[in-house]
Amino acid sequence: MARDQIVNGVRIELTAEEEAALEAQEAAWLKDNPVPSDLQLSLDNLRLKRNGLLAETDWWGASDNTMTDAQKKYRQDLRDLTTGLDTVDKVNNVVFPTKP
Amino acid sequence: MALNTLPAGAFADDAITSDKINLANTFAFTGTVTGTPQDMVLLSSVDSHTSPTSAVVFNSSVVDSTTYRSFLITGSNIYSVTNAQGLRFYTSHDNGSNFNNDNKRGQVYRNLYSGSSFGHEQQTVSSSGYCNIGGSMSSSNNLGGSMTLWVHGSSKSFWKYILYQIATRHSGGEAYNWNGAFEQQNSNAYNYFKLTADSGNIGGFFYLYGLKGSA
Repeated sequence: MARDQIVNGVRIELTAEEEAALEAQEAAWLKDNPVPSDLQLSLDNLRLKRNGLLAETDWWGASDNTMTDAQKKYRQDLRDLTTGLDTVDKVNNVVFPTKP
Repeated sequence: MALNTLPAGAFADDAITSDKINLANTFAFTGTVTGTPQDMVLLSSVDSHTSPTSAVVFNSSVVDSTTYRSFLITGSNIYSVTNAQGLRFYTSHDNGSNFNNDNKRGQVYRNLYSGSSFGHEQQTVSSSGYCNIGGSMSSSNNLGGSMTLWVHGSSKSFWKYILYQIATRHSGGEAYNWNGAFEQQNSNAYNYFKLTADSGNIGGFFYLYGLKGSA
């Protein structure tokens, strides 16, 4: 089925040339930016949350502060959070470490 | 003698009501109608929710920068048919023959579910003619997002600064909000806007408004 675009609210079918150009452009995009797998998307989401938690405690590493062992472990556990996660189920069931 | 002037006080102020006027008639006003502000006008609306499309275009027939000083684009239930695609916004000053480059974009994002997940990012786009607004969209058409985008000073011979806000279901599963802006180092009057996904079709409801102004 031919693709279209909507111009000022009016649906207009693409010409064969326009559609071919669009498909080529999209194929080039997808070659460099493949649609991620569900596992990759879940991991991306997890990393966003993990990175936010790490950022919250970045100040612990300031030169005028000495991190406790519990703080060091918390941050290391966050960094290691994605280790061994090879299924969406595992990602969805990750337990975040408790902030000391 | 034809009566073409009513004497003062001939009718009480509330004597003529809507049920005394034939509202089906066309009245050819030649004067200036006052009391009905027309400063914000809906210029075009698009429904691509049920049948997604490759591009939502507003061209020079409705993007008239000599009449409107600002344009507002709103969207609801926005989704990409292909999962995890970004939303692109294009501008043009020659009705889509060329798209404006030299875009510098900054945006902040935050997870609506978890307050700890937030951040910011900057991007310079020098040749592709668009800016990505927001992040990767979910392909679930019942989880589509909302957007508000402002183009101010579109007729002015200055660089343009475009403001946007989007909240949508992220392809990774949770909902995100992006607030951002981009600078277009272009001094021409704009007359064309386009929204697409990175690839594949885009669905949603989109509205273009124009705001008038004398300056």
